[in-house]
Amino acid sequence: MKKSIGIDDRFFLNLEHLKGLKSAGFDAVDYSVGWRHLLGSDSDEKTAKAAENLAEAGIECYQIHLPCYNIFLQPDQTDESTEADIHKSFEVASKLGTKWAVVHTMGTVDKDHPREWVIKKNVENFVRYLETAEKYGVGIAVENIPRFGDCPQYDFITADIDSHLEIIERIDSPMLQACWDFGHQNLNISDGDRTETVKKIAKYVKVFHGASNYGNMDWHLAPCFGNVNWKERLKPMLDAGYDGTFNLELNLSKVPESVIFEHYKLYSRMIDEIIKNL
Amino acid sequence: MDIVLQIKYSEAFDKEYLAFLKKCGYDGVELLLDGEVGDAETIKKNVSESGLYVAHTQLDKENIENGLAVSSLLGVKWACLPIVINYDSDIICNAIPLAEKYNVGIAIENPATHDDITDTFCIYADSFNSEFIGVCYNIGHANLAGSDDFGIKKFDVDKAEALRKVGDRIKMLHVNDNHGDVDRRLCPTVANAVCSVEWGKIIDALKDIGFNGAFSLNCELDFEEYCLRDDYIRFIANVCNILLGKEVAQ
Repeated sequence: MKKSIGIDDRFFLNLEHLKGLKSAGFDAVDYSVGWRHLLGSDSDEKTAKAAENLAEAGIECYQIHLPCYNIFLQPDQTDESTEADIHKSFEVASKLGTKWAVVHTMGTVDKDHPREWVIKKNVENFVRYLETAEKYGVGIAVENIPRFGDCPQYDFITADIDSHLEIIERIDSPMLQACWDFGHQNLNISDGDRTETVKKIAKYVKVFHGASNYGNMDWHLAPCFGNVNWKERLKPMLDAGYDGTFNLELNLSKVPESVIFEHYKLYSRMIDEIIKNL
Repeated sequence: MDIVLQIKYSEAFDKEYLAFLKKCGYDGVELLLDGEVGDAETIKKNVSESGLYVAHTQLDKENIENGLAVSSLLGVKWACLPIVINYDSDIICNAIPLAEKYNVGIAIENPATHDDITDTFCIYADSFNSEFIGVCYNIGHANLAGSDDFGIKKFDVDKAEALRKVGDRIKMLHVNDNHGDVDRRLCPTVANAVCSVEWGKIIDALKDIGFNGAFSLNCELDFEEYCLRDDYIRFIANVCNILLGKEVAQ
């Protein structure tokens, strides 16, 4: 399995950094945090440069993360600016050779927003994105958002696996599948049997966010820290034919540049060991 | 500043392991004394032959005299004693004559708490009025002040200033990181959360107080993927050597 990692804002146009990543054992990057840097008035120039760097470093950009709305917004609270960024992102992703663009669902289920309404509105949003995605040949991968322990009152729609599946199955397109965030799942207080949940979604998963935590907060730790059980969670996905990368979505924003390659080397080894032990 | 790794006392009988630590770039070890320990001569020989030294020990509250005797044989100047403020006063008072007898200082460790206990802890350390009582400053423990169990900041605590306040009471360090939530004992720079340790500021504060002891890491080293342990131990040495502006072992 190819190894991928989301790179921090600071390095998104840094060729030497990409080469260092390659030397550390990574085959691909996820323009996740730095994604917004590829938008704006000089988007085309920056995208061309990013694509050139990737080619020279021999690194793929297999997946990207689309711009996100605040997770507490309901799906009818979209705005023109973010929508424009999202649609533009597919064009950028296409130029980078990206296969999948990850998107969050919007909305929580509560007395004013019944489950059916939240699902319907998310489906409407995604169908709109899908037109652009198809035009540029980039798939959409819908990510799971958990019900967090520190704000349990917010019942995010994809904290419920059946709702997540329903969104994907209602749209019923090979260009709209799933992104599975293992760290999010590890936090999800609504998820009873986590291995069974993975089995349910596995056939739709095209990309994943490999991050860990201790079950209290979304720390985005490298996979062997924290307590995500990779053996039990990842195996069903591979058994279902997962053919994407092992992608790390980590929080590296405060890691001093002087030590970041030490992190990359260790994390690349972690992926090797997890795969070996499955 | 020397880079030191806390290991179990029993691990110091393993010459290969010690040689590996040296190769990784560690200068010394801190020995965790768990229960009654013996054969300090062999440990001393092993450690010395590997090119390392025993920088510190961590005492077991139930076996303080044994720990101080072994520490003395190993040439240790300061031994850490994890404590509960006020609750362990009798243990500390009773240990002072033993510390004098073996000529090994006892460095009481600041407890892990979300409260800001800097002033309280300084007053407590001073209350023993003994040159044989100092402080083992646990940077990870100190980092928990001001946040909650979710690592969310609740009130301001200037961690570098807190370290400066403890100042020359600090005779040894316990170096590790967390997210401000729980004492996870992670390697510096791994946690990276809003409430994680700001290493640049902490290292500057150590320089400001003239600390010239060891950067003694007490990190959780075990993974479910056991074979990553060596990689992590090497990673810790490399990261810390870089943070301190030292050369990284090849």
